[in-house]
Amino acid sequence: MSAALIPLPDEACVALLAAHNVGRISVVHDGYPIALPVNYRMIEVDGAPVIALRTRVGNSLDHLDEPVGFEIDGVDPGHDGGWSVVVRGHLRSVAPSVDVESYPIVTANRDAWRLIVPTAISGRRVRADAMRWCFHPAGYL
Amino acid sequence: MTATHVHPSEVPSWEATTLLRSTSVGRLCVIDHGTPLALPVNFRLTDEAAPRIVIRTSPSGLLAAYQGPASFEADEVDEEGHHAWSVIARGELRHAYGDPTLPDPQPWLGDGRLLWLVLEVTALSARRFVAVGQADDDFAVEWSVEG
Repeated sequence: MSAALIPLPDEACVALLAAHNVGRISVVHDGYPIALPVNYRMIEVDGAPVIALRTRVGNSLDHLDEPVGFEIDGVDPGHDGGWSVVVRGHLRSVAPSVDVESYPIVTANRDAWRLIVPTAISGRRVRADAMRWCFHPAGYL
Repeated sequence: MTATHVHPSEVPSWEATTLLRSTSVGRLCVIDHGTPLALPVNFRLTDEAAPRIVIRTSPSGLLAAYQGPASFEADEVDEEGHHAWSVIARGELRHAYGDPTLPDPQPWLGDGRLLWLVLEVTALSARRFVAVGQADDDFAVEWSVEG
């Protein structure tokens, strides 16, 4: 039996974004699309999910007001299964406040407070063969 | 818990290659309608001194619609060993037709992933991370770049 790809409903995508704190922001840097791991926190602005993060001013991910992607996943290399959520949006600057704090592990020089304001969110999961599905700590990073 | 002085730990490229060979899942980063997007994929490295990254995808999918400058990211976390790493490879993504020397990435999803993609790697970088403490929920571990 082959694995199957199943779309995740919007509520599940938002719940997964809310439950995790490490993701990958995608930007175009030096002409290349690159994905960089970041700490984040999902916040709600007017009831809509927004990704809050902090970085160094002028860091390679800091492409203000440009289209960016954001991805989280729980992929299990050993068991042929997993899920992912992909966000499309724009990177915006925001004034520091507790409402948009993302609690990065390293705070030194993380003075650029940013929001990824989504324009689209989608998710999917791979349903592995029934007995092979299991959870893995990597899914909780 | 916070670490105030953190220095990036860059890893030599041969070790970055070894790290990449230790896993079978990463994220291919392309541009779709002007937005950079990273999508999880199964992959294999070619057995060359300067390895290329091989992916199979659906000919009608988002990844198939793009060729050009692209990148690939993989990372892994060893919670028990308290260390983690991430690797980023940059290069040119192109379609590959009829090259029997390419290793099969054997995607989990066998549903018509008949288009082979190759990322010709031009730059490779890696970073290591170490666990710095327990997060508030006592389940997650917080990570910092290895100093």
